[in-house]
Amino acid sequence: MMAIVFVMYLCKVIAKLIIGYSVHSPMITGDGWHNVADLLEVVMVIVAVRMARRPADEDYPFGRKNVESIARAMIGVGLLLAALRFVGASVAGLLSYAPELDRAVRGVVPFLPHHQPLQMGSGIAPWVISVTAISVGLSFVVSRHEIRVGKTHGHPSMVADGEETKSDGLIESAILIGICAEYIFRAPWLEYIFGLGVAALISRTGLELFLGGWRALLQKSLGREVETALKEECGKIHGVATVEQITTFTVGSLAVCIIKILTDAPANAHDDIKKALKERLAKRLVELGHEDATFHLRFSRTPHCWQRVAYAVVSDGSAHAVATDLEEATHFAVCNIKRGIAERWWLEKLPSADQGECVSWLEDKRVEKLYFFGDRQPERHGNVVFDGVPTYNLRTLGLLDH
Amino acid sequence: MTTFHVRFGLTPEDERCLLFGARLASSCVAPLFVWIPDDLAARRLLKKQPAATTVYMEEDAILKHVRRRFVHEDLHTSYMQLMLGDLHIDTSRVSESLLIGSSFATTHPAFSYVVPKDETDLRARGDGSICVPLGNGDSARRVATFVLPLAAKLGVSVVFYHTTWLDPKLLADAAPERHMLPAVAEHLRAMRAEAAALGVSCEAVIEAASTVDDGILRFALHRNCSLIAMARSVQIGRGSHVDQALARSVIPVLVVGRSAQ
Repeated sequence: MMAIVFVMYLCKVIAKLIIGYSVHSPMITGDGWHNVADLLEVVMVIVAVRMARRPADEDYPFGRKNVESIARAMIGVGLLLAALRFVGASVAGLLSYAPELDRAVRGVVPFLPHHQPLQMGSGIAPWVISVTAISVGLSFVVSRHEIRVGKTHGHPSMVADGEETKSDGLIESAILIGICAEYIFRAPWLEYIFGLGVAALISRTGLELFLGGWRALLQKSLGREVETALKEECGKIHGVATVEQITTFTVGSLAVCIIKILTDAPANAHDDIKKALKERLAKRLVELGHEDATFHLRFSRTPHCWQRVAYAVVSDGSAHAVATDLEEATHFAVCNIKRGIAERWWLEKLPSADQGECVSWLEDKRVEKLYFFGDRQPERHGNVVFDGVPTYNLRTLGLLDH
Repeated sequence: MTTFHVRFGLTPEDERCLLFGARLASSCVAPLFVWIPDDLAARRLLKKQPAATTVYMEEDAILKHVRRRFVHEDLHTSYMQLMLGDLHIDTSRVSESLLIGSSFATTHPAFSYVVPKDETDLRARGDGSICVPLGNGDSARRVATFVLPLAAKLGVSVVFYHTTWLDPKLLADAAPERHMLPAVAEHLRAMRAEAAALGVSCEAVIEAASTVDDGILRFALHRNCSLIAMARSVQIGRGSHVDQALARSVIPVLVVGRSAQ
């Protein structure tokens, strides 16, 4: 594809420089030299695409796709400069109709280029018009194809070059209008008005390309909308408790998503969840306009609060029941609770019948809550909260197996 | 199927099972029996009141606890019934009952049970289909008989999933359906007809996965299935797909009991 673009620019350069110098047209000659710069740009894109195609390795874990972002930003800057030059030429052309205003403006903007009108005999005009018209057609056809190929293969530098070629087509259209306006309608000022509009379009494209490359180089996120969509997609997958952190950025055309997921799923299920997540997220990203993506998923267990609680228990050694109050209790069943489950529990004889001494004992053991059987309101005693549980049965509490 | 059963408990898993069962019963407009384990020896230790009073006291406290929990989750208790003692279901109703919770797995092999995993709602991750894996045995037929009426009540679709060995007589890249054994095709045809009769929308997916368990779990997760329904084959000694799914799946798993016909 890039070879076709190269050949096209080479033909344009030769044709425009020959015609430009023969008719003393600085606009055509200037555009010819501008196409020389385009030729160099094509070489740069070819190099960038080749480098970007190299696979990721230890030194470049995300590959070298960002080289295309550099090319994209440079093309953007080139287009902004071209637009500026075109604005200058168009303004100079318009000011040539008002010499006094021209002088006043040049007093404020001394670097404004001097207006150079076309000097072309009527015999050569059809040739010039034909060559420029063919050039316009070529630019639009080739740029369209280049953008399509660049998008299909994920090469932003090729897309940027396609946009640049399209801008060339617009500039050439302005020149064509200028030539036609001068030799058919005798109204060359039309070219300058049209030229200003073209300059605005080119500068917008240039700015978009530059910002796109700049954002990729500075690893700007894919945006809140994309990240929210990815979080929602994660939430739909079984086993995902929540998305703790999501970091996204692009490397060239590659969208990189680093996602930290909290899960309570067993470790042997992590691979299954990971595969499903990757497939689903990739599909969602395609819907959001990111064809090429890589995912780095990290799993962590949901955070847990470790807690020590106790149950006032009546026990005869073999059977145990949660007591309704301290008077009835013979033991404390002290439990270490993690994720709501008693990971470890043991029986301790009641230290005393006195509630105050019992509370001190529980405080020493760092017990936060003491439970009794029955529906009762929480009540604080020292650092211990007395509360109720709806069952006397240790099996229902999960302390004994069913 | 007309009844759902769950064992009451205060562990996080028990609470999940209760909510899962309540929502399932509510969706199917079917009663939910909440079984409260009894411990007579322990009850007798509480001498402050007669043993019978303890029962009422516990039942009342549990009812209040469940109501509070249900109100918080925007659920109704009208179709819920507290039952004292270990699970007891009339033998004629076993095939119509679904137990909720992994604790039923070993104690009642004849019953069908569902393990909700970490979910409190069958629709927690959206309206996913019910995945029914099938092989060349008839266990999937038992699953279909049990699951299709449930799917009809819940208004969800069913996807029959089969992973086949590659037939060496065919090209490896031939459509997976062509590698499928005739017995599987026959089961599939019968189950499709059964689904159509009940008005359940269904589809069949045939793949050539590396291993059956990997295939089922990967497919169900990728398709965002809400439930994997399976049955134990009576011939399998060790390493059944059901055990593998129960150990690895993060999607709720329904195991159809041997009594279901």
